[in-house]
Amino acid sequence: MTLIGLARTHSRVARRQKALWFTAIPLTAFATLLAAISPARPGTGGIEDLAFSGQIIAILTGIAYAAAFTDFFTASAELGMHELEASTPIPGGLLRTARVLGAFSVVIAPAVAVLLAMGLVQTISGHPWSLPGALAVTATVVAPAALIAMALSGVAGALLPAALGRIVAVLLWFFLIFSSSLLPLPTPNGTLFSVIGDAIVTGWFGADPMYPASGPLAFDGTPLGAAVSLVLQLVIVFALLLAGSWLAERTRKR
Amino acid sequence: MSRTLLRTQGRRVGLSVAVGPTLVAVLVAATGWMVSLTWPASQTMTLVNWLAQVFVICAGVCVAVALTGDPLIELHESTTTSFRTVQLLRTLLVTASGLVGAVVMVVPLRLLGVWPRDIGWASVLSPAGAVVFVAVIALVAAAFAGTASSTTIAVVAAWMFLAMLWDPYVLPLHLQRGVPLLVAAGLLMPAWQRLGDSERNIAKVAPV
Repeated sequence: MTLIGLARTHSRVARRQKALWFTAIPLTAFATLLAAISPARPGTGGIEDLAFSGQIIAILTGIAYAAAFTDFFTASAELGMHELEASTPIPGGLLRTARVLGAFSVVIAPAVAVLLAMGLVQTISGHPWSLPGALAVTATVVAPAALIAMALSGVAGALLPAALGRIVAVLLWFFLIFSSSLLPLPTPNGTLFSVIGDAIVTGWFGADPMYPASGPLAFDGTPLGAAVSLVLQLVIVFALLLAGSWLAERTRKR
Repeated sequence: MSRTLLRTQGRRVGLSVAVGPTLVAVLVAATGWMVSLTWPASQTMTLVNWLAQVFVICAGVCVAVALTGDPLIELHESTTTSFRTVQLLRTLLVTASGLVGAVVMVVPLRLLGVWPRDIGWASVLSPAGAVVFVAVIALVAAAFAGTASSTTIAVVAAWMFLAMLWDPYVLPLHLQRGVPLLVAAGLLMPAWQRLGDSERNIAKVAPV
């Protein structure tokens, strides 16, 4: 309950920042446009299209979120907020998770709006399950990816100084989303650890993956595989939040 | 614009941020060179293509970091050096570093023959123009937003527009870089006016 209350407060703080809206909306719009003009889009007019758009939005907006939120775990130290937070009987990890969820509630809003609008158009043209499908794609593809990008950003910011943390977070995100078996490097793409929802869209939405399944941990395109992948992604988010919080506590100036 | 002022701003921005773009370019060139020794040219070009994009994002992020999070706005406004001068100088400093970086990155990779979409030495203008474009967007976003997170999102959105929506469809170099730079010049005007408004500069408080 504490977490929900805190997250709502931080969400209100984030919602009041006009600048965040003014930058998150064009970012999502560009990503949506790219999904719409992509030659790789399924073009079935059904849930596969929603899944594809969701994946493109997750991939591209993640670049910005990985770069943007490096001060999630450390900003309060600079503003003197950490003294207040340190004297509050709430674990630091909970406070920082709430801060991530607050900004998340803003950046996910344009993606929900875009996918719901697409779902509405599809419903009108005869696909009755597109509206719930849009919500499902947001919850299982866009949301985990955005949370991973934001938590990754926070950890990089807690570990490294300002500019370097942002750059390293972007590099890591580029590696997570663009590395493929075309390059002789290990990659999460094609496996259950894919952060762009390949295992999820194949298992639950019957769509084609961005990267073909490969390697010993390859996803199998079944609903069970999709569930395992989603749980793995949430575990990654949780681990990153814990790690970032722990690092920030360790390096905090008393 | 004395040299002392420029040096002072360099110190405030911090050496790592000021030379950041050049450093990233050196790393990209070095990575491209090392990889080209063992990987086939097509794979090296794929990697260089991505890394060149990362370089543009890095340059934009460095400008964003240089322009945000400064708690001394009141102080700047109370001296003859206005906050606007400070922001412009910082942008110039990091952008110059990015321009040097563009040359440092393209020249060796081109000589090795692994620069993608090679169009002669004018290839340098492609990343150089992109750096100037994202730097101006960062300046404008920082003028209106003030927070590092929003400025960074604006930088990445600008990069995304350029790299994915503009460059693949507008191929002649003078249009590919000329039009975005003209737009950027137009955006400078409102930012110039906004930064000249001392009251609003001082009232700006940035929590996230």
